[in-house]
Amino acid sequence: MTAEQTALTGKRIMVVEDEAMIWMLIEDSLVDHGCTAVGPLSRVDDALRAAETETVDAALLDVNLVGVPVYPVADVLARRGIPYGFLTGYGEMGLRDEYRGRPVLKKPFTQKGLIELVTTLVTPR
Amino acid sequence: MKLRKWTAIARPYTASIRAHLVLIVFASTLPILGFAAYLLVWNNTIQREQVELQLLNTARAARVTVDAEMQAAITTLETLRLTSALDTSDLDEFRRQARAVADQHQMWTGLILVEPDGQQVINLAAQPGQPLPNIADYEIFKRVLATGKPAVSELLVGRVLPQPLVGIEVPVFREGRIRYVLGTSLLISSLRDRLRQLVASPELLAGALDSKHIVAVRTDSEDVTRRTTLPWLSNAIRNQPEGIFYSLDDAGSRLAIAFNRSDLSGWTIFVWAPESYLENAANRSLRALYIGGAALVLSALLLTFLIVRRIERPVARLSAAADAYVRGMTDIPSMATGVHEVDKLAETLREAGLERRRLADERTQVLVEEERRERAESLAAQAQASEMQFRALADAMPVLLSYVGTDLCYRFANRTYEDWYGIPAERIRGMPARDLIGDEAMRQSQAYIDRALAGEVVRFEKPLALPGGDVRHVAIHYIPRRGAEGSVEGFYALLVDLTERKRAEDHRQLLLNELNHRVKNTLTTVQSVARQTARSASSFREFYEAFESRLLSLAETHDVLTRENWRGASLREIVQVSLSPWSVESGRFEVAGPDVRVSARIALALSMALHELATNAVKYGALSVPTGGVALTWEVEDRDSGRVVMLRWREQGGPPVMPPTRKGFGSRLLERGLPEELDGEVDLQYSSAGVQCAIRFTVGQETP
Repeated sequence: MTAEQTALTGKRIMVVEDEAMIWMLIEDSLVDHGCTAVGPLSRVDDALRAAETETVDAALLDVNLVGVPVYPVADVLARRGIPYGFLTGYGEMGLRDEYRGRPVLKKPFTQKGLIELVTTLVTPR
Repeated sequence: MKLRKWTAIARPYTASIRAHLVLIVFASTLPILGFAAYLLVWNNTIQREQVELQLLNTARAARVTVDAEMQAAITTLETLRLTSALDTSDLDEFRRQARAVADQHQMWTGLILVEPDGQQVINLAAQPGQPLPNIADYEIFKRVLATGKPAVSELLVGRVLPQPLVGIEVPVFREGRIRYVLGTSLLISSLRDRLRQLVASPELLAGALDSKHIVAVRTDSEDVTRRTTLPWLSNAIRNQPEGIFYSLDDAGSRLAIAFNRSDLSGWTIFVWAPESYLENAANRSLRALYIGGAALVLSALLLTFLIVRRIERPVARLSAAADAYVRGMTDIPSMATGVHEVDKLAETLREAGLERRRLADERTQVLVEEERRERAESLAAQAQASEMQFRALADAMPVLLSYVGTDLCYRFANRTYEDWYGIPAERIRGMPARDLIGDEAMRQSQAYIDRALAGEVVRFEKPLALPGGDVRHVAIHYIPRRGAEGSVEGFYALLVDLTERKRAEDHRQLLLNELNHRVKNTLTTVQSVARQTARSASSFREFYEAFESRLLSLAETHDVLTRENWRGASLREIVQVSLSPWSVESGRFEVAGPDVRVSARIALALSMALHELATNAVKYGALSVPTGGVALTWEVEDRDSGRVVMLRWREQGGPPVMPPTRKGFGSRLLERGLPEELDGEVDLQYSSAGVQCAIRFTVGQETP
């Protein structure tokens, strides 16, 4: 798989998603664009540990992990200054008030939408 | 005025005072008017006789006038006949003398001299040389010959001078016998002129009938040549020499006609006038009587009216007072009407009324007392019934219903309070609200209570903690009650339990959110399956078949889970459903293991994994040759953390297995996805005897 040299090349993206099929879908897209997908992470405690220890450029967080909210993971990432975006079937309305305004990718999503979100996250502001 | 029955003829006529007084007026004025009328009629009769006499005198005067003209003509002719010219029949001489005489009489038409055989010998009116007519057939001529006396003719038309005229002829005697007849004629128009002079009044008309009763003269008409007769006139005058009678003219108006007949000529002279001419004078008197009489009656009536007013009003008031008394009224006013009898009667009525009231008051007092007592008893009974009805209604309501005074103590609480708080409703009445619902609830409700006491209808919802820890979600209404002066005296509190509804709503919302989440996740899963199927497919057909197969497998598992309300599924059923596409090969599957319930998440993951293993086996593994088979077995082991399931997939009898050169969808799912999904371990071995896969995972303890 030859990837063009882009802003994403070589980036490490943490992917927290409890559906294996969806995780694989995201991993495929990231790999296609020269990134590495860190995961799979489908449980909040696993994800928390990874958020504390892994060195990543950005993170994608499924809001609901087998019925448990992913927000603690988001808080750790924020503390560490790691940009992140949410994945959710609910859209922005599915977010808690304090997380509104964060980048959100609605499921199902297009490849293009996913890559645009990740590009936004890894682009320094 | 009451209508009275006529029971006897002797009973006097009943009428109002006004009617009686009007009767008096007529009784006093009518005889006077009657006498005046009699005088007038009498006077009228006299006046009429006078006028009739006047008319008759006019007729006489007219007759005398006409007679005078005729007599003058006769006398002149009698003088002329004595002339000596006729002794010798010197006709030329006689003609000269006659012309001289005729010239003196303007009324004359001329003069004739006639032989006894009727042949005219002289006619002054004829032209010289004109043949003269014979007049032997004239009646007048015959009469003169027969009587030897002068005669006057009827109306004639001249044979020489064709005009209406009257002939006058006298015999001329010589030697004892008639030698000639001497005649002349008067123009009717001349007579008419005479009559016109006589009756100067335009209303009076005059005329004459000749001896044959033919209309000879009329002052209102020039033409008498038609020789008209008037039979009614002839009849009226036939037997009397003079008189007066009445008739109708052609237009139907009454005429008064006076007539007088001449002995000399046999002509009748008449004068007629319209009856109004006679009556005018009498009518003037009558009109005076009408006007004067009417004025008399009117002034009498006016005076009567004034008097009636003075009497009628007091009597009417008295009558009203009497009516009032009859109707049962007791406060009859006293009167000062100016009519002594009326005032006195009114006073009597007033006293009778006062006496009646005193008696009635005594009676009423007793009745009122009785009624008041009965009403009070009835009201008390009604109030009690109403109160009981209200209580029954309020107690039957599945809501909290109470009335709270401004002191925040319950005045009323229905039975539901008893059910919720465990305190008898009777005890709640009078209890401060704080004591019942607690300080915390009171603090939460205080603002709303203040608004209700300020007169506002308040509605809010809140959780209500009950003794014993139960919390109910209630909708609360406070409805202020105002007293008679409009100030708020308290408020009604209505608490409706919304707990069940709230719970149902929350649950529904939860389900909706969950459904949305699940649908989106499923769609994304399908998207992932499609993408990864596409990655390993070498043709669209291959892609489509593989994708369809995976999609249908997923759908089958969804069916199972939906049947179970997504609470989980039987592992055995999942296995059966997952392998069902290859059921024709069922004999080549050896499936064994205790049934165990797994969660929906595990069911889905296992289903997909089994589907991939089976697909791979059919394409490349043990099921790709007729001799191969698959053993699918599992064991369950109870641990503290839950029940651990160890599931094994073992292929045998297939072609020798070569590890895949690159990881496809199946191996990726099994090795990377499945452990995450199951939170377990997966060991996939491509041993040469056949593919082996060991899957180990824990199911929740709650699933038996």
